This record gives sequence, structure tokens and C-alpha cells, in this order.
Amino acid sequence: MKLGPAHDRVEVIAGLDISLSAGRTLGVVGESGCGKSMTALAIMGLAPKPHAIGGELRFAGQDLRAMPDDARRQLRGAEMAMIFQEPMTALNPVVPVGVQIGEMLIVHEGASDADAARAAVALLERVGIADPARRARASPHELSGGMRQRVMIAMAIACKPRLLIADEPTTALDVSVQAQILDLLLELQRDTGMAMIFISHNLGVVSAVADDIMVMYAGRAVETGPAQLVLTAPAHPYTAGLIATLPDIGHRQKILPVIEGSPVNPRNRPPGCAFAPRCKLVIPDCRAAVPPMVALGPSQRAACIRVAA
Amino acid sequence: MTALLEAIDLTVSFGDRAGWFRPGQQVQAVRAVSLALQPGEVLAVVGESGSGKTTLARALLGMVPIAGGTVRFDGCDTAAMTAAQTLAMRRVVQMVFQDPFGSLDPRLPVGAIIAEPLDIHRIGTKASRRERVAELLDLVGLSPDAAGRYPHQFSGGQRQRIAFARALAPGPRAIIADEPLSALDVSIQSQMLNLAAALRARLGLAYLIISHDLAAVHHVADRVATMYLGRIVEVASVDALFSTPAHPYTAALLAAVPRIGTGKRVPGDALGGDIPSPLAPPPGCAFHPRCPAATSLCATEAPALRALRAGHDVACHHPLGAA
Amino acid sequence: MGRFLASRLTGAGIVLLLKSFVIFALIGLMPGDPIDLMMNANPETTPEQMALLRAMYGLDLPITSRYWTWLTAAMHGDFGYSRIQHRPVLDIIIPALGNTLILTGAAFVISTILAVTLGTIAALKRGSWIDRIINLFAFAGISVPSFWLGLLMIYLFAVRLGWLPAGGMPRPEQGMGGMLAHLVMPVMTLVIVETGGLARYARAAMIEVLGQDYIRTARAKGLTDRRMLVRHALRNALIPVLTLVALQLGGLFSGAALTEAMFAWRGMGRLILEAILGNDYNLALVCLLFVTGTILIANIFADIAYTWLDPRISLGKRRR
Repeated sequence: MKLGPAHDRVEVIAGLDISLSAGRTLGVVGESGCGKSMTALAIMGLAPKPHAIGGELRFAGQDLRAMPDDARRQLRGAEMAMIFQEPMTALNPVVPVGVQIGEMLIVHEGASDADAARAAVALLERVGIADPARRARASPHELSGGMRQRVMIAMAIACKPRLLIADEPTTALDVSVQAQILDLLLELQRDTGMAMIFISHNLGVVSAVADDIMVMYAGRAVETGPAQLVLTAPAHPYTAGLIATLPDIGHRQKILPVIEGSPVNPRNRPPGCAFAPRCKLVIPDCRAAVPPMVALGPSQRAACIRVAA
Repeated sequence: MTALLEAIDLTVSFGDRAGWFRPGQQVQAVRAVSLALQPGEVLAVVGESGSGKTTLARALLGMVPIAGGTVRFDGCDTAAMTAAQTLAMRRVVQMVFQDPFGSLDPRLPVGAIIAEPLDIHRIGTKASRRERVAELLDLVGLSPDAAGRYPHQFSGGQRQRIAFARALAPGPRAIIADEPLSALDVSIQSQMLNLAAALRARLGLAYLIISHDLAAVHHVADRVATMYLGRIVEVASVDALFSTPAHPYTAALLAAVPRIGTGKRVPGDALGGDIPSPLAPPPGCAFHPRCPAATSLCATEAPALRALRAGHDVACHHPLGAA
Repeated sequence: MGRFLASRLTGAGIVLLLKSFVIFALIGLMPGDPIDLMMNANPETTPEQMALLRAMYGLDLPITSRYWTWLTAAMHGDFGYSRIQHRPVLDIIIPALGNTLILTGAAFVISTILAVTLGTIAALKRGSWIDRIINLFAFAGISVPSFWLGLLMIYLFAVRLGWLPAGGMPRPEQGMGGMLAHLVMPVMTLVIVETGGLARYARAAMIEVLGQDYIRTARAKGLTDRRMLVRHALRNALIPVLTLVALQLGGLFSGAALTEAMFAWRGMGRLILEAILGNDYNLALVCLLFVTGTILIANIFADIAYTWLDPRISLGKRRR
């Protein structure tokens, strides 16, 4: 996928293979600029324009890229929904939250205003908001951060989507509220069997919700596999470095192992392996060609020539 | 030992004054907090947003007016200090902010940003300041040619290093850092944590760290204070607080920290509810509506902060692990 | 709400009182009083007669006591007589105010709707040729002087084509058609001049809103473009636009002096102009106070409109 006007296009995501089945959660992990949010927007059909998307994008067997705009719009919200990092800015400040939830049913299911209002109250109750009838009339600024994210979730699940994309849904929240929201998402998934793409920079959070993990760096996937396997036995030096670098409550180290340097922007992606300039295991061959994804065992894959060798 | 910075019974309230036709509203953001930062120590204040931790830091620096209690710097009441003494205190206690994008003037070159505290406190000559800037850049791991460039040419992590260099410029004894890591990428956070530790070892700095990132706090702090709704509910050494938390709120916060490799979450054990509005704090212990161990006593009487054992204070009627 | 109104109306009253004194004093300080004018009209007046006249009119008293006399009378609803027209000033002002409201009100409604529509279209089609044409139109409106535009229209539609009356007020027997015919050119002049700036402002506000997270959310919800625009974008974009509109609202009552003068429209703007030029101080004073009062009331309305548009603002509190 490339972004920007034709004369100045940046390849923000390259050669990404994702597949996700119902009831499963894919955790997408990476630092800023790695393309994780852009991947989500591309799937939703919300990528900023102008852009060009190459390759294939299929949802429940339908080719999304071939779909006319209006069909794509009808799919959004109804079949695939998304929640965002900042529930404060992601909700319209001047519209009562009940209306914002209810309009999903008006638009996608042709509900009447009264039915939509009733459904909104039921949805607020479903996501664990006390006194839902009163809260439905509240404006976003009258709710706490946690409640606002619950409102976002209520909106997202209103039409029982088959896929929910959550982009850093707990990053702006306190830890105790974060735990509440993660619990809510897990419960909803258990009850509805929806698939989830959970994007986060926080490995701990991803570990708490994901079945599978994809680690991204500079617009490419560098490692994929079952969550617990990738997190406990990482194969790619970047994944391993990220995990090692986290301070852990379980044991304290005097000096944290670090990954030197800063995450690279896809605009200045170096040739070969994008992680090579920061990698401790780098050899000259790393800079020669983009390393392919190599299977390591039945389910884990990593894009690193040092691991494959 | 005289504390470097000490709050005694400190209360900070915000509010709009009453209008002609309207009563004023007062919010106590910090309620009767006593806390001391010893020279060379790393003290962390943790708590959820709205707990008053940022306001406490600002009140210690004299950046917000104090409604009650005293702040002492080196044993002197800051309210009674002369302008010169206040300036001297500002030199010795520096601040690093959360957002390295907003806290650096985009129109000044980095060298000028770092030299600004030197200019304010009239330290050194023009030439010696330039030298000092180069030395500071080296200290925080940036190359000396960074001085001529502008903040937007740097990444978030590098900007936080610049902010650090600026704070170090006048030779402080303490640095107050308000959520210094939360705007940074994961791989950059650990770089900053190591930098902070190295600078402390080298310069004997004390840190007051305001953070909600418990794992990072666990890594750097000597002592930790937990705040809830403007009050300190627990203070202890980092090991005691993390291994045997006595306040149910501290325990709940620790339990909520997601950790790697512990498998998928089993829903159900999250602490319920939200932090209450400081406009209408619950009676008794402010935490009792969310507390799993609350009794009728908790609903009526606010527990005072008392020593559970040496160096471990808790404000709870039923502290954990004290049968 | 009641408390808010009470507080704001009290404030408005105080401002009016202060303003009345300031205007009174300023007019008193203007060179030449009505007696001087009488003398100009009749060069044979002796200084003794003039002093007598001054004493009769109370003009020899200090300005504070004159002001007090005026204020006491005004409090009882007596705003005095116009020196030139020899009628109570209220009898003059009320019809003029009505005429002004017809003219500026029509221009205001048309220009606001037009500006918001054009601004929205320009924002949605940012960078396209439509956007450029709207921009061009807006800049032309901002930069063209109203007197020139008015003269051009009079020349074209009244003199050359003879479609419309060149100016003046419609006679009652001309009915609705006559009213419209007389209104077209002055309203068009005002609309063209006022729409430009407001359209640019509306465009900027709309572009800002379209970049907000909640618009991305609206798209993620699969809303139709129309619903997204009407339900989510427009109301937010109107909040900043309202500030500018509220400022113009005050201008509704003060009239558009230049345009009214050019098209001989008997409104407030023209009345104020004539009163000041003719040293009709009583009329000028009351006219100016009327204008101030209506501006103050318009601002209170604007504040109430804010709270209606934006629930984050509550009456009596500053915006967060």
C-alpha cells in the first residue's frame, strides 16, 4: 500500500499477509510509524487519500478492492467495525452518545428513531454502563474516559459485526480501566464469536487478548505466530529486543537491555532488512535484500536471514 | 537528613470564584498530603488520572497556589522565601514534561533551548555556556552538532533527551518528571530509563517521578507513593510496595498491569468502576465504593495514613497482609 | 438560565448607562451647539439672545447636570425631541429601525445561508476548481467597495436596463412587489460584501472539522456522506462560524450606513448619519444607544445559541 500523491508516494505497508478467522484475535504490535494503524484503515477502506493499494484484500470471500464505494460503506459498521485510541476525540462532542450509537441501526438496519434509541440504551447496558437510560442522553464530555471507550464499543458492536478492529483502544486509559475494557472485549468476543484485530504498542496488553501476533516494523511484518509462542520464544531480533527491553514487575534488572536508535519511518526505509541499522546480529547480507518470511515450525514465521540460517 | 523537598499537610484546591449570581465551586485536587523527597532518592508517585499526582508535583514547584499546609525546600518554608531564594530553588529543582513536542519552543535552535536556564540564572559567560551545551548534549547521548538544529528535526526520544539536557543545564539536585515516558515508543522508553539511571549515578540526582506506568516505576524508583483522589493512600519502599502492597487500591493497580507470557486474560478480576469526581468525593475512605474489602466503617470514617511497619505507611482500615 | 439572563441583562444595563454618558459627553464636546446653528441661520441674533436661548434650553448648565436631567426623563420613557424633525425621537427611530431590519435582516439571512453552503462545498471539494471559484468569489466580495458595487448596480439595472428603481422607499400601494423591487439592489450589495469573509471562515471551520477524529469515526460507522455532513460535521463547524455571525448580528440594527445612503433607504444607518451631520444631538444619542442595546442583546442571544449548539458550554461558565 502506498500513500500520498502520485509523484511523492511512500510505501507505508509492504508485502503484508494477514489471515484471520472468526472468533480469533490477531494482535498487531509495533512502534510508531510501523504501519499498524494504516493496515487497519486500509482494511476498513478509510485510508487517507490519495493512496494506492496493491495486492488482495478479502473479507468473508468478497474482494474488497473490487467493491463499489457504497457497498464498502455498507460493510463498514455493519460487518466490520473499528474503535480508536482516543475516545474523547473519536466521539462527536455535540451529539448525545445514545444518538451516536443508535444511528448505526438507523443507517444499517433501517430502524426507526424510537427503536434506535431503545437499542442504544440496551447496548449501553450491554457494555456495562450503569444507569444507561440517563447516560444515553449525556454528551461525551460528561462521561469518564473508560465510559467513553465503552460507548465506542457499544457503537462498534451495535450491528453485530463479524470483525472488530481495535486500534490502541486502551492506550489513553488508566491501568485499572484498561483491564475493564480488555475484559469487556474478551467477553463480547466470547459471546458473539466476532474476529478481532487488536493493535497496540503494549506487548503486555496484546499478550492479554491475542491468540496470534503479528509484529510490524517499518511497514512490514517481521514475525507472526501464536501469541504465547512469539512472546515467550521470539525469533526475530526485533521482537526479542522489544520484549527484553520492557521493565517487568516480576524481576528487576539494573540496566535494561535496549534497542539502539529510533524506529525508522517508512519514508526513509533502508534497503534490505529495515531493522538492520539497529540490529545487534546484523551481517552484510542483511542489507542486500529484504528478508522473506520463513516458517519456523508449524505456525511461527519470521523475516530474518539470521534465524532461518 | 533534611529533605530536599517536602510537603507537609499540603492542600491544593481549584475552583472558580463565586460570581454575582452564582456560588463558587471548589475542588480539592490535593488533600493534606505529606511527602518528602530526600537528596539522591528516586521517589515515584503513582495513581490514575485525576488522582492529583500532577498537581502535587506542580504545587511542590510553586507552580500552583497552595490552599493549605506548607512546602519546604531544604528545610525552609517556600512561602516565606525571598525572591532570590525562590530563584535559587528553581535552579536546583528542574522539571521534565510529558510531551516532548509541546515543551520545546519550535522556533529556537536546540542549543538556545538548552542554554535558556543558564541565561535565566546568569550562569557562566557566553563561551562557557556554549561549552556547557556541548557537554550536556554529550551527557544525554546526542551529538554536539544537535545544538544548531531545531526540535522538529528530532524524533520523540531525542526531543525528550533535549528536554532532559535543558533540565540538567543549571546543575540541579532534583528533577521532577511528569509522565516522562508515556509519549515515547517502547524501544525508546528503555533507553530513557537507562539514561536516567546513569545520570543519577553520575550526578547524584534525586528524582520525583509522576507516572502511571507501574513497570517503569518498579524499575527506577526507591520509594513509591500511591495516590487516590488527592490523598496518599500508601507509601513504601519499591520492593515492599510491589511485593506486599497493603492498600487494596495499590494491589488492584498492580494486578491490572498486563504482563507478557502470562497467557490470555480471564475476564472478571478487574477493579470495577471509575475514580470518583473530586467535586463529590465519597464519604469515609474515598476508595470504599470500589474496594473489595470495604466494610461499614470504611463508608463513614476516612482512614489516616499510619505506619504499618517501618517505612511502610498506609491509609486503610483493613490493610492487606495485616490480619 | 434565569440566573444567566439576570446576570447578563444587569451587565448590559450597566454598559448602556455608561455608554449613554460617554455619548452624551462626546456630543456635548463637539464644536458648535444647536444655538450656534440657529445663529448661522439667522446672522442677526445678538449674543444676549443667544445666552438667553442657551439658558432656555439648559445648555449653560454643566454637562453632568444636563446628563442627569436627560437620564431622569429617559427613565420615564421620554427621550426628547428631534431638533430638525420636531417630533419625538422614538417616533422617528421606530420606523427607521423597521426599515433597517427588513434590509439588513434579508441580507443577513441570505448571506449566512449562502456563506455556510459555499464554505461547506469548498471544504468538501478542497483544491478542486469549485473550491477555486468559490474562493475567487469570496475574495472579490471582500475586496470590492460597497459604494462602487452599489453605483455599478444602479447604473446597470436602473439606468441602462431600467428593471429596478434606482433607490428610495416603496410606496404602500406598491405592495409586496414594490418592496421586493426596491430591496433587490441594496440587499444584493450587502450580500456580496458580507458573504465573502463569512464563506472563507465557514470553509476553514469545515476543513478543521472534517479532519477531526469523530468524522473518521462517522466514516468507520459506515454513515452516508449526507448523514455524516448534516449530523456530525455541520453542527460542529457552525460553532466557530456563530462567533462571526453574532458580531454581524449587532450590525443588523445599526444599519448599513453607506448602502442605505446610496439607495436612499430610510433606515437607521442613514438616520444616524443625518442626525450627526445635522447636530441633532438628541436623535443621534438615542439612535446610538439603540444600536448599543441591540448589539448587547444580540450577544446574549449568541451565547444562548452557543450552549444550544455545543453541550460542552454551559451558561455562565467559560468555554473549557
